[in-house]
Amino acid sequence: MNESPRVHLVDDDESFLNALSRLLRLEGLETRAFISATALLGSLGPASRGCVVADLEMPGMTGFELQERLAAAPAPMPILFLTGYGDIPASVRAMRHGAIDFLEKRAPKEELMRSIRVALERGDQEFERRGRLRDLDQRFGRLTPRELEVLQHVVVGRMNKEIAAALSINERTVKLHRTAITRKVGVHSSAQLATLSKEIGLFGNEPTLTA
Amino acid sequence: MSYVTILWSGAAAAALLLGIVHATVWLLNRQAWSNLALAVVALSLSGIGITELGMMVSQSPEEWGEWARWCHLPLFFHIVAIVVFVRLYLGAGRRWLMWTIIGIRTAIVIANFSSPLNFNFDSITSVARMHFLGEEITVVGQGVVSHWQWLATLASALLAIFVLDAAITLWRQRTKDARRRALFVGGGILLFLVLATVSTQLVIWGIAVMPMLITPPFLISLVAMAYEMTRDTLRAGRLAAELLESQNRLELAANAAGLGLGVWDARTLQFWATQRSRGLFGFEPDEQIDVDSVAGRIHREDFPRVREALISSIGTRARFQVQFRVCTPQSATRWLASHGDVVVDPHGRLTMIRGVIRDVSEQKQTQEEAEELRRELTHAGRVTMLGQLASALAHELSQPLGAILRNAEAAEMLLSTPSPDLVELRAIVADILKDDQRAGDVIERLRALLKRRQMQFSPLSVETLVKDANTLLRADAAARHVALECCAGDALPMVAGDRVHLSQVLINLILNGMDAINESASSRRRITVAARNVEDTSVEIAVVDSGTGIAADRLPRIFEPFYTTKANGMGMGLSVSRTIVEAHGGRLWAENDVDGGAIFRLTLPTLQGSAS
Repeated sequence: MNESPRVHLVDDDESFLNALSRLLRLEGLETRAFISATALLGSLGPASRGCVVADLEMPGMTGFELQERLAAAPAPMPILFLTGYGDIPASVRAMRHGAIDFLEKRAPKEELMRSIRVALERGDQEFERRGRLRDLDQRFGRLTPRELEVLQHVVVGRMNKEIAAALSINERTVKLHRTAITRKVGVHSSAQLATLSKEIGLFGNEPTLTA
Repeated sequence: MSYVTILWSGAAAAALLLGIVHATVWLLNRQAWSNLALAVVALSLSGIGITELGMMVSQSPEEWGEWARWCHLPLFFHIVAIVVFVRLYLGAGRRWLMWTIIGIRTAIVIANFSSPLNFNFDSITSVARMHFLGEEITVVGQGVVSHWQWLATLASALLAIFVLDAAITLWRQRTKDARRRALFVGGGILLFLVLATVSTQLVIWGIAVMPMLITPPFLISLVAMAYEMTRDTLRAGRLAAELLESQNRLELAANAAGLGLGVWDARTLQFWATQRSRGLFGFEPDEQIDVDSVAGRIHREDFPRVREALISSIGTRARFQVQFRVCTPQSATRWLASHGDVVVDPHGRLTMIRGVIRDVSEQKQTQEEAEELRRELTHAGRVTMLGQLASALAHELSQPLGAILRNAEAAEMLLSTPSPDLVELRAIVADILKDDQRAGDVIERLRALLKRRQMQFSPLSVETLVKDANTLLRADAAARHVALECCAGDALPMVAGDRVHLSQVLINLILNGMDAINESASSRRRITVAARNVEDTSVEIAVVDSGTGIAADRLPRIFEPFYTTKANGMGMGLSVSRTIVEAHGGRLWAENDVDGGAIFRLTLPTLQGSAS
């Protein structure tokens, strides 16, 4: 079901694109080459995984625009920028927006490969985390509104009696709800429940990116 | 007192002297035909006076008849000369009358010398003596008048008509001078001609016993003619003085204006030149100058041009205008501008060259300095622009170099395997060669841009021009988040132009557009470069940006040198651009787009358009 991790190459210069694909293939990586950012975005699906290596200066959609669009895509991937020559403000901007690295086109091969591998690794982590979050989403999604109300109290560490009083229900009913939550989510301890619900941002907390 | 002898001898002597004077004038100036005619009138009158005196002092009828016969000879010359004088000096008189009179007078002279006595009398039987002016003189007593006498009367009448007709013609010209001449010369001749004719007829027909009286009246008419001629001489003298004065004035004005005048007479091979002209050519004030010495001062490279100008002027009769350098021994080379005309005789031979020369060294120098400055500025503009282009060029180079590097690394890896894939290796090497060529092209383009040089016009496609700019700026535009769209159809006609300079103009306009977009902070970031055909005579290239346009008060000034709105701008870009476009015979101007941005339009004449 899942695709294998790939290096997605984007450059308007076909010659460079070919050379880099050739090298990465020989390094044992799977690559897909795109002549423009639009072409890449059009080919990405939720199951796409890997990383993107893009030319920063391209006609049409530039590298930065690609970066923004990629972040909003169904399958966000780490991006590594290549540029004709290092331009500090551009690199700062790229890094601030979470680019893996910012390399010159003629950077040493070792450095390039290291950065690509880091990006792939991060892509994998990202992919897995995304899978896990999707799974958690599914599990928490099965909870009824009443169960969610109960859970909200559980994650802040309240006792059953306190919850019953707060919700003006029977303590026994609270226990039944907690059993249902444990069954649906698959976690028993209230500490674990708290961690998971925080991870998917259930009660106003943004999902934290694993850095 | 014997007045007759005194008067007639005196008259003959006076006429002789006057004749000699005018004959001398004619000898000195062979063009003065009127003077020759007058000299003949005077000299012949002197002859008439002597023969008349001879008649009066003769002792026998034969002697009288002999003097009368000889009198016809000077009389012939006298009348012919009067007729010629009237034609020449008064410029009037009928030609057929003139020839008729001359013909009759010739016949009379021939008849005169072939008759036994003379033309007027077949025979004279007696002479009489009478007292006249205190002296006893001989007059005709009795004789037989010739049958042909009427011919002489006719000749005299025709002469009177001829002179009268000429005088009337002249009178009708209505100028003061013509009327005075008509009255003085025409009237004088006519009056005394009638007097002389009448007295002669009276004597011949024996109506009155009196001497022939031709000399006194003719002497008076001669004086009238001589008086007019003298006036002419006086007027010539006055004109000469005026001419000298006007020449002095002209020279004064010419000197004040820094002009030198010069005339070369092709017949005498003499040069006349003002001091200023001599100075400009580096000649001493009293130095002899001729064609060779003047030609020797003209710069060897410019001499063919000067000669060409003169030859073409002789051919077309048009004025010549030529600039050339002269090398004088005293000072450095100077630039002279000369214009003037040539005088050619009816046979197409050169008779004279006259011209004005002016020292234009300073203008030439200023002109050259301006040209140099323009070159400098173009160069400076290019250097400034190159700074802006540096990133674009670096990017341009990094593409092929990056590709070469990655290909080489791939090849290296392939070679380290036990059985390298030769097909792949070959593909890699081919790619490397191709990219190396690309890198070389970029360097070539950079060198062309940097090179300071004169414009070189060659047939150029507008499509290439737009493509060049697009290639150079594509990356730069992308880095600045500007969409650069270039559309130039390949159906556009060719233009004559300098590829490097025109690329520079286009690049400059596009870079300006990007700056304008950056300042505008607008969400639309787009530059369109479009070329189109304008009536087949020129091609228009429009650079449209999505900036905020140009403020109305700035619009007329943006093409001025050193006018800039940019903090780090030199203000030379548009000024140099316009200079370049205008050097191509085109135009460059700016206007505001209705959508808010600015449009820079430049037109270039097409090859056909500029050829016609």
